[in-house]
Amino acid sequence: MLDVAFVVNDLALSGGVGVVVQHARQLAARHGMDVTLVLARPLTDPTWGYDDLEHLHVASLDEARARQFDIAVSTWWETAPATFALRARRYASFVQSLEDRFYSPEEPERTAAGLVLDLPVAFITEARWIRDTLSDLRPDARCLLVRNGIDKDVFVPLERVVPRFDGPLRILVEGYAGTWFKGVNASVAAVRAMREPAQLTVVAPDRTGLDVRGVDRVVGPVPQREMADLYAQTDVVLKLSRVEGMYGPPLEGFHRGATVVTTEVTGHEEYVVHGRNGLVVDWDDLGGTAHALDLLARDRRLLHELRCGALATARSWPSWEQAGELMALALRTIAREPAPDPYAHVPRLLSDARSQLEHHRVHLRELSAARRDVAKFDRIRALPGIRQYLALKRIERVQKGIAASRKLLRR
Amino acid sequence: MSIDAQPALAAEREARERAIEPVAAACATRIDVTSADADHPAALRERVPEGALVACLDVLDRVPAFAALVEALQELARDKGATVVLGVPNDQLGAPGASSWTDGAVEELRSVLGPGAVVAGVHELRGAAVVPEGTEPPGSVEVAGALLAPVGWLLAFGAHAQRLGARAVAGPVDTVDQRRHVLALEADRDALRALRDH
Repeated sequence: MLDVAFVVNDLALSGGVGVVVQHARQLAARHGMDVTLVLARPLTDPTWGYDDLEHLHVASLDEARARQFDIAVSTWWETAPATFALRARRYASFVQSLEDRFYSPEEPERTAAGLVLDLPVAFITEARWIRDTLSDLRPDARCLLVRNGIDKDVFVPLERVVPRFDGPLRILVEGYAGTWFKGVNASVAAVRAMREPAQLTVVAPDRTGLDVRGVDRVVGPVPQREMADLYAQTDVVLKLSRVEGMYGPPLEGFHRGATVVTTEVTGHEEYVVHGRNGLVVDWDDLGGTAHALDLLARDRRLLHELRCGALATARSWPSWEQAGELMALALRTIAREPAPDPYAHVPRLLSDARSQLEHHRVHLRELSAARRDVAKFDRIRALPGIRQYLALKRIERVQKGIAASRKLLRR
Repeated sequence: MSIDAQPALAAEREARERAIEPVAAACATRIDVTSADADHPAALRERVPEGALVACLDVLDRVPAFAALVEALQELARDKGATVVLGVPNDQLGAPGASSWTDGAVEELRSVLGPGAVVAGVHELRGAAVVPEGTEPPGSVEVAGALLAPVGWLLAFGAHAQRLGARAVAGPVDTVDQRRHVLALEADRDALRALRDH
């Protein structure tokens, strides 16, 4: 029996943690593995209910340190230190996205998130684009592909799609508006720019930063079964994300008879085929996106064709049970094969650290040059004459006088 | 080769068998895996002798839990020098069975099997032959044009996996019989409609 630790930052009800919990449940319930969810830090946010964690152990990092695991798996770049703090025969990293992309170049987290890919681990990833990228970055490392499953008991595939020829186009947008790369407000703006009648539902776990102009209803957070019902009342899932690993919502919508209009965000190619089960639109093209939605609102034959294509894609997508089969095979493969040479990748790790250091140095130089320019400008503003002129300009009577003089000069 | 009602399916099976022939020639014997072996992988381990070809065709898609079977096959390749050939359909083209197989699923399985695994697409062909009177039909098939989505895949791993061959098989189609079959279906449909409206 394999003793496996999945190291998570928390047990929040997020998509990423949800994927880990689903895999962990399958491994424990159907593959006889002893699975522990190790918390890299104390719990603060709402978590999965205990019913969802049946068959699993949940342990703090201190508790888990006292145990010996066969495999310790990090699930997010911040969990890598805690993973290596555990005693395990093998170390693996479950990569759900290239996580440095979540941060801007100025944020130090970006560097750290990139560097964890240099650790001596086996990789398991959920999308082919990530596998290909990791294989290029780390040709020395074992990289296994295990796609996310779908809960087919919740997102039950429809028997058939019923054509809709009347009524407004029913559009669903979901996600955190406050997360810059989710494109939620851009989606709302695209629907606002439509000419044809539409009915927009936004599912927002948190309404911070959400632009509700033109939105017919805002719901959320909603449990998965309710989400499945919402998808069943939807024609199009609109997804204008900028960063994704392998997004689930359009696929969940596919099971319930909705098609998708999406940007060509990473991961879309895993199951979205333009013109067959959805429409792919350009980046930052709100006009084009609105046109695509208008097209679907007008051409109900095309809409029906895409919805049928989406349902066909859904039918051949694996369930969580099947994904669990592949995850079990992947973990047993990692456990069986020899551990990677811990030193083989050290030169690359150090060289990557060095290049990030240089990158940071360039950034600091630019910042310093900008500060010098600002200081110079402030000194000029403080010069006698200019200082008095700027002070006078702030007085209302003087502003009126300047405006009147300009008018006279124009004559 | 006999091709009756389902010429494409029969040709597909035949082409797969011929692709496996060079592997079989290098192996001591051939063992065919059935769906029942998925429930008893230990018995399969016992049954397979050293250096055998283990053909696991149209099995994985019929069992929901295939991990234990795949592990047993990996073990046979590792410990008994077996060569394993797995065959799965492309479920994007039809209704999935107990488990669903697509290009993504094949890539998942390939990643587990490791870099030595060989993947072959099984492609359906449509063609025609010109055969002058008194002449034998051509013995080989020339494939013109690029191959598109496969109807299934073969995955081979183990000692002689690299011997998996490229083979194409075409068989005569009884177009008269096919037309008769379509007419019968149309007649059935009309009769059922008439019954419903009666």
